[in-house]
Amino acid sequence: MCLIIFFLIVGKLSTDRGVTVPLPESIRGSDEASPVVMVVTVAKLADAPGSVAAGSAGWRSLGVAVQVDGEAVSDAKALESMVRGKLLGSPLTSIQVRADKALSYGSVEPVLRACGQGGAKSVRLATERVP
Amino acid sequence: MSATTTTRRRRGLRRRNALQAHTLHFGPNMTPMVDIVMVILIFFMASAAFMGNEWFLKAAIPFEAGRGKAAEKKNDPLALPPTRTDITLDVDAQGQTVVTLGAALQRATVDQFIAYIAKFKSDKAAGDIEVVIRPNPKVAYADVVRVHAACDEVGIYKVGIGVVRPVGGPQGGRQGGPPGGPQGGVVPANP
Repeated sequence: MCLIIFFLIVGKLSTDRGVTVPLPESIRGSDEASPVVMVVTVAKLADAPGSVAAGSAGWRSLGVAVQVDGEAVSDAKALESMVRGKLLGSPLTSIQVRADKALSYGSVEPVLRACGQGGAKSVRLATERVP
Repeated sequence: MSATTTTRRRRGLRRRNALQAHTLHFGPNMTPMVDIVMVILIFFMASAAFMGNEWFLKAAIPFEAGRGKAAEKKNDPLALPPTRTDITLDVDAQGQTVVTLGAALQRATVDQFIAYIAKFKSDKAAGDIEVVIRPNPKVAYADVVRVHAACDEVGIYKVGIGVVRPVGGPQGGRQGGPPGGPQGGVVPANP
């Protein structure tokens, strides 16, 4: 019993990568099925003060800070190369985009574009489950 | 007399072992079942707490997804190509998101769009429809997700999200987009 709870906690902690952002609500969705996950977090700058210093002027001009698995990404080119490298290593990687619900689409779109240019055919938009 | 009393006292004070306790108990032994049920109950409670309240919407993104190629039914030469439609999201003068769905719906609110598209929920052909959401950069990201979720709710699972094609970027996909909105390059993939 203790082992089960231990593995649940460890599994949860391993998936909590990056800053926590308020997610948009969704009436539909599906659970993550892929064992390999790449978490791309798009946070407003005020929500991710630790990544502001590492953020480039490109992300800053959009008013966002972008992290991949908890590590700040300098610009779109860096994100693109990270996605490409991850997909080369494990093509079945699921790319989760966790974007702040307060953002406009214009702030999220460069992230999606970088993922697409990195070779991702699709992404999974993280949302908050609405019963 | 005294020996009989001593024997009775010994029997009365003697500790019973498990076998004797079992033979004295009438009816089925519920203890193992209760143990298992409790463990399962706690397991599901803990897993529900740790899984969180998140889920995901799958969205195709542009360029190399190969629009149309992945959707082809190679084993069925008579299969019709999938129906493709665009959903354009824009912002009105009040800052509210408005939705345009071809000629059927012009600059409707998101709630009106959701009510409109809900009519197709029982339509089995919805699974063959490819939808491309083309938001204006000023549109709230939460509204993009709402529209995406509404499509999923109806049964339209092939949903792509439009992005601006970079200058000198990879070729492919479809050119064109809504006036004032992002331009082309949208390629939805199969879910």
